[in-house]
Amino acid sequence: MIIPFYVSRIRRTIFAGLILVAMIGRPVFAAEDDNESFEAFGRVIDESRDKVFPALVNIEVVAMDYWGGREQKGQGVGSGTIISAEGHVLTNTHVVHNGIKFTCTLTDKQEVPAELIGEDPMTDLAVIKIDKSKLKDPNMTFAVGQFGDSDALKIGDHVMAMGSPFALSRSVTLGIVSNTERVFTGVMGEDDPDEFELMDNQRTGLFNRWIQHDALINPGNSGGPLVNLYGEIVGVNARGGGSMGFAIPGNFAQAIAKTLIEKKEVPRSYFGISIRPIKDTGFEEGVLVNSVEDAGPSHKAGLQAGDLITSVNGEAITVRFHEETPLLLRKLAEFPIGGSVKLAYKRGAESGEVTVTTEKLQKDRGDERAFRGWGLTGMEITDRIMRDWKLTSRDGVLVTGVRQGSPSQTAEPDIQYGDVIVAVNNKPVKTLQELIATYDELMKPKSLPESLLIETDRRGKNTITLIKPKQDEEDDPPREVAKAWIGINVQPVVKNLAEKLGDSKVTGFRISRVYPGTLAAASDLKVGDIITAVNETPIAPKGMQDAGLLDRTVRQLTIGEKASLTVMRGAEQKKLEVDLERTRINSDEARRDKNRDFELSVREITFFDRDDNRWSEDVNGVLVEDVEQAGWAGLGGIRPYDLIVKVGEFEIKDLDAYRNAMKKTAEAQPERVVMVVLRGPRTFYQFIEPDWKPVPDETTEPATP
Amino acid sequence: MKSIRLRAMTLAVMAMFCAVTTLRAGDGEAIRKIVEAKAPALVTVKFMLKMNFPGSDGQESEVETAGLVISEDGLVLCGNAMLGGIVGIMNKMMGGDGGQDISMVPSDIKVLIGDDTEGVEAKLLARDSDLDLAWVKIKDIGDKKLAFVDITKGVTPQLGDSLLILKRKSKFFDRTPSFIQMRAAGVTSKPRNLILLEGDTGSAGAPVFTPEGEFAGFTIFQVPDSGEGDMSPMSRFTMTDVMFPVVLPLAEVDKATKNATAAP
Repeated sequence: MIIPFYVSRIRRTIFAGLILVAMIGRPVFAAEDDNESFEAFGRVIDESRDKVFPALVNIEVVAMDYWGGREQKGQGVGSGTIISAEGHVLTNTHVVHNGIKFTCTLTDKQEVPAELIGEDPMTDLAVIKIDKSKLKDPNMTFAVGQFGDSDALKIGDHVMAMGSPFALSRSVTLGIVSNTERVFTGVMGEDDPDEFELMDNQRTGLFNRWIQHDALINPGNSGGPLVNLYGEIVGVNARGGGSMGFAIPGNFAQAIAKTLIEKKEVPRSYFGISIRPIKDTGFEEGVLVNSVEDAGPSHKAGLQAGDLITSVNGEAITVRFHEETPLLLRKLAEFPIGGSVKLAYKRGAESGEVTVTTEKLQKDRGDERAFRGWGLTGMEITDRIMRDWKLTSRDGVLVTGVRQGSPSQTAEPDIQYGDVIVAVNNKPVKTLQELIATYDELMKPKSLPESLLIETDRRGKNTITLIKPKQDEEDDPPREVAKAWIGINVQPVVKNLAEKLGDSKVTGFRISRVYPGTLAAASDLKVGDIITAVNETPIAPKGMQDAGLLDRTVRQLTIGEKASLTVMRGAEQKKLEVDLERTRINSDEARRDKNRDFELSVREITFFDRDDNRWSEDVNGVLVEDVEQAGWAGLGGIRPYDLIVKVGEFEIKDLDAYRNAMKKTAEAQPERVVMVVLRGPRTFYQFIEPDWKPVPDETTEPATP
Repeated sequence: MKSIRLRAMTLAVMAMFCAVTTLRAGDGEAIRKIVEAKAPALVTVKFMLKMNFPGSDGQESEVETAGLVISEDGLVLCGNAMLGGIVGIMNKMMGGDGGQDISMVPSDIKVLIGDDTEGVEAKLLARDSDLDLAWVKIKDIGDKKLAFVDITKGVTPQLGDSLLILKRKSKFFDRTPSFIQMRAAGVTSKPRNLILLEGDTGSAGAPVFTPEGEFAGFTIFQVPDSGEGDMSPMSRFTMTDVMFPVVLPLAEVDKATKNATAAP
């Protein structure tokens, strides 16, 4: 503001001061209002958070997946909400799928096992139940999350996402609703809702639209609640990317959860048609039938691809846009199974009506199992798989993976991915259960068959082959031929280096290390000595290309004999005798042990392990080579390169002692196994809690904890 | 004059042709005799190779490699690298215990003799990464006496000598015995006594004979010890040299075999 120049200086000063006060005064006045608003908003968030937070759980899952012809254990983290006083937790199917062990972490940090009640891959919803008997206080009352009305959500409403992003449990983010009816068909040219898959051959998202929001979610948030500012659950977070999150609407999720608790599945009616919206078709009403499945209910009723369905049981329907498709599909799916539904249609200039007797919608993706002794995984053939793979029937078991080097892969001809096993030893196999029963019968460890005749269907071609099952045995690696060795490490001293050291003629090998505990250490050899001859034969490296000359020369001598080394120690020449000992074994020669129960591979420690780690001779143990992260040992905190020095009460002197300790431990089956490991210079006490249910060869249904 | 010159030239060409034809016929016959004589001792060693490295849960594959029977009771000489010894070679190049938590363990070893496709059970007796040799022993040969090559008798090739390297082809070619003919292109004593060949024989692990059928050595790979190889990206000398098999002369083969079979 410009103060007119003609106003006197005093007046200008007063005037400026008033303005200044006014300017200072205004923000102070405005800040108080804003602060109150902020504080009020903060209180709303606190209160709404506190209504759901106590019911939030972090879910750790150990799952068994199938890949490469074998079972693979994995570990994952997701989120869930306690939705009943009995301890039912609502989460996503993809969090718990193939789970064999579930652990929920409650608001008071208690970790409690849970079991799967049911899952619905079509909606990516699942329910697990906390084992109350394992709580510190089995009579405790669970905090239960309450559902709000997700239909009342509007774009712009504030929402919170709660869960365990990146396994960081009990996290909250805040955002707004961006869209209340998001679908993924029609985006990027994908027109078919069947293409949206949860996993291979498993559709999802057919019956719901998604609440899109921008409360930040990340892997680990899956299954966690989307909460409004009233502290009510309005969605279950299931998808995300960038700054977008997608939640399954709470009303729908609540209904699915109720059904899963009651029936452990969600039965739905099946019509055997796929539909498409009439946008861009020229039609004004109805919904277009894209295809009719052969022998499906609609096919039997006489419906044809290209028909325009105009009413369902007399009620007019129109699906113009992709956003409307899930609503109709859900309506159709909710008809009673086996009931009759009238569909009016237009076919060109004609109109008609069919009565469809619905059937039960079968699951898309069949159960899968590993057959370890044969080296393959097989899957139940569902209707969908039969269609997708162009199989002629559901009989048999689909081969979903073959392990490299396994009896199935080395058979002549081999069994391949996509083959359908139809018989074993001339006994027909119609279902996965039949194959499991046949496998169990034939593959008894003490009486493995020499060979098995396997009949397969390979894309319409009948093939037979012979597989030779074998026990999974671990052989010790072969040893190198023993050679003579001096326990030193050397570097070549070439001419220019020798010159720098004082005499260009003194080329040879300078000792850079004398390994402790060796015969060399017991001799008079010292770091800095330059070896110029072995048994009177000069060894003079011409350059780095001769860096191995001394070692090669020594290796040609005889173990146990003495070698005479001519060395220069400063300016003094000395002749030193050293006893030749055997070359020390390398890590690839070390004996190994693989423990299938603990899913842990170890090997004996070598001389070089000791030297690298500066372990003295009284440090003993076995070195962890590999540990399955989701196995007992991995979950107990054992890591590769740990040195296991004690197992329970057993000191581990060497590999044999370790094998004995593990055998005795398996016999005793304690609730907890303590392994003491050396990790670098530090000791760690790792507590392993085995469930003592070893993974069987065929890895059948998920073990309930 | 012109016609005499032309006639002379024609006669010279014909003489050359006959000489070449005669030389070829003689070579072919000699080679056939050697291959036929040695073929019974050429075997295929079939095995499962399990590779263990962190996170692998053991990857397995079925492998076949060439072998040479060197005793009538079933001692078979093979190339170590071909029998999973590549880890030992890597350790050598990297020095001491190369820090590789990798192991390759052959198992279910079988020796296929002649037309046999099933094989007889065998075990890996020893391996020598320095010399790239491995020894496999047939477990139970019964009363049978196998055709073998006596590695204690033979000659050491000289520079320029012609050599025949024999091995069986893969099962795709019915494991038929075949040969490669090469000359000794170099003789060295570093890193040890070796005969260098004028070209690439493909894989190592094959016996080498003179055109007279005498045993001369065995093809192996030789790699620098730690610190010896010039690994700079612009230098190709060392890496080009070590890419091809060389011949370990019979005296070295014999000495190594005695060491290997005597070792506890």
